[in-house]
Amino acid sequence: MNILFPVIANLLLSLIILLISINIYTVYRRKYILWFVFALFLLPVLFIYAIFESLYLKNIWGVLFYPLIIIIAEIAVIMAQKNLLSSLKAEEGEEYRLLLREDIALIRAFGKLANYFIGRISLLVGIKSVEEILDECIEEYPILAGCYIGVDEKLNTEAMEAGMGEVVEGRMEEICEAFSYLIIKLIDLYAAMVPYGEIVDDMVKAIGRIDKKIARYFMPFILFKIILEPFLREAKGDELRALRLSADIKGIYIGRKGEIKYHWIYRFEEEEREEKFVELLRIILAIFENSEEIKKEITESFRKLPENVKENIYRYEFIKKLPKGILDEEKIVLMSKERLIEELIDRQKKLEEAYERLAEAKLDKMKSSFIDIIAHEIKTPLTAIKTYVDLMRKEKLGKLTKLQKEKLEKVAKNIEKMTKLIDDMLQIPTIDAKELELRKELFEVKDIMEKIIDDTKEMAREKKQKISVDVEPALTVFGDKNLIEKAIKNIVTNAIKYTPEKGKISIKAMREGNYAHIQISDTGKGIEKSELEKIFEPFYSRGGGAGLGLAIAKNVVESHGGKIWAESVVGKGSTFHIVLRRKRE
Amino acid sequence: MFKTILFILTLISLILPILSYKYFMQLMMLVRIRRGGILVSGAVTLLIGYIFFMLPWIFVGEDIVEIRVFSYYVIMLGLIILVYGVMRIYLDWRGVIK
Repeated sequence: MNILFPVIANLLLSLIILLISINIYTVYRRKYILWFVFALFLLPVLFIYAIFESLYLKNIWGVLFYPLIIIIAEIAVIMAQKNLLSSLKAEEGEEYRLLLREDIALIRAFGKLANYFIGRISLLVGIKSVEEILDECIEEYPILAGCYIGVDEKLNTEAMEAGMGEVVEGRMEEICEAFSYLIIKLIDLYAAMVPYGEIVDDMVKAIGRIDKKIARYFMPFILFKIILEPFLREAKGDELRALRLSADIKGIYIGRKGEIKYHWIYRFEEEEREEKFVELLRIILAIFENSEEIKKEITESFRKLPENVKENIYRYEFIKKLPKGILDEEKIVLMSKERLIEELIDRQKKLEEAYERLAEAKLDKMKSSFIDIIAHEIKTPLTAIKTYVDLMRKEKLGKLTKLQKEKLEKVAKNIEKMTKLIDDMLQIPTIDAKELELRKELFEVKDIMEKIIDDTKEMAREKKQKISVDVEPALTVFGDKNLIEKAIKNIVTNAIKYTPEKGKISIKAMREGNYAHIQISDTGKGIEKSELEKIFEPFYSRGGGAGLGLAIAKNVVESHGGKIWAESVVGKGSTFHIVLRRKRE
Repeated sequence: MFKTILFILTLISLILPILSYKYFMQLMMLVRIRRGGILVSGAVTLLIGYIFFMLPWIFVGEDIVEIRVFSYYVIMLGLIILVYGVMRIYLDWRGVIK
């Protein structure tokens, strides 16, 4: 049985685990990870020993090495766990912030906040009244069960933490509501003995110690207890009465002394909570006749908040909802920041588009010049070959045998084919270019037709075809004469090519409003309906040839703002239509 | 003599995971390591493989190749689970850790 294979595989796997854990340690240098790395390091050691033992070591005592190494590894794992546990309990180091469950962190933060007030209250009235409040809160909110006032006269939440079970969605709000109820009661009791202004200072200090990741759950506490309540506590009797009557907002209750009970607000969504705050703020401002002084004081209260909670408050979505006169400067800064970001995104998009266009244009240019160079490099030696072949065929370089003549004819034909192919290649840039450089002029259609007939008559004569031309007198076209001639010639050449011997080709050109309509008809084999669209695509060929002629014609005509299309009846022939502008616009 | 020492060492190596599990449960109450279950199943599989590996030595006093190979394959399964778990933890943490 092969023992080596699984051992080597295990060795490799343990090395992978070790490498990943080392990687984690290098990024996140914590002591407990180092213990884990040490434990994992022992695994490959064990497998290396297993290979060594099965190959060379036959002593029975060598087996003791296995449990020994396992014991050391297990001790290392326990050390790692103990280390992490003590660090979490003592709330030290980064692992506390990173790994601690959000609900546990929330309970602890509320616990600390409550202890802040319990410490002060117990000094003034003893711990008994605090215990009574806690009992009442537990009765109201059973989720707080397990919380108790310890011998150190502090709120202990360990048992509650232990009973939390898994993190359940919606549980956070439940915790917030229960603890907010407790804290509101503690503050009320404390406020009976100490001026509220001093309590606010204490609250700002206490809130400054809250971890950023759970700070958002304390938003209602900050907004209602720190920002708004000081004004209500100082309000006159009739103002407060008016406020209590008009502020009928679900989730918020204003007491006789101006205390705000907000704990039910956690039953609403986060956005709704903010809206309720803004609504209450507007009512308060209305009662105080939109006093600029109050607005200024509220702004100051916001600005005094510690940095860890400001991040949650200084959000554009929230700040923009605040009434005019409150945090105006911050609104401008955030608004310009928002706009700046939008503008930056917009500019980046534009830049990317411009870069794409530039790259495309560059590529087009490179392609054109590459084809140009290649085609010319082939054409030059080909011309020399053609000249010498012609001289030989005309026996200017000496007499030829019949066989030599025959073979030279074939060479000449192939040279002709190659020349045609190179000419087609040279036309490729004409198809690719999105906007052709047009040298527009006004010219008579008759002129180009004469030239086209002159160039193609030899080809038609070879196939005994008849070409008829009917051009309306003085019919003009406004466009690039050379390119339009090339386009029409391509169609005529195709017509000759695909029309059988003794066939007919007719070219007509007539006026149609501001346009000149040119028709090239043949009596060829025709084109299938499914092919009619495809024939204008580059490199689509029905017979021999590169399949570029019609694609070039289409690009030329469309660059002039004209139209080109084909009609055909299979077995009877085809008609190509070109419509071009007659005059300058 | 050999068997007694081996038995005691194996017993210690089997008691220690119980202690480790106790700490693990305490940790899971405080932290949110989503791959905790994967790590535990990997570790348990490794432990089962290790027990199979040690059984012939404790009870027979010598090696049985078939059981050794079998235990290696069980350990391999445990290691594969651990590779997956460690990899997932690394990927989860990569974005968070600084």
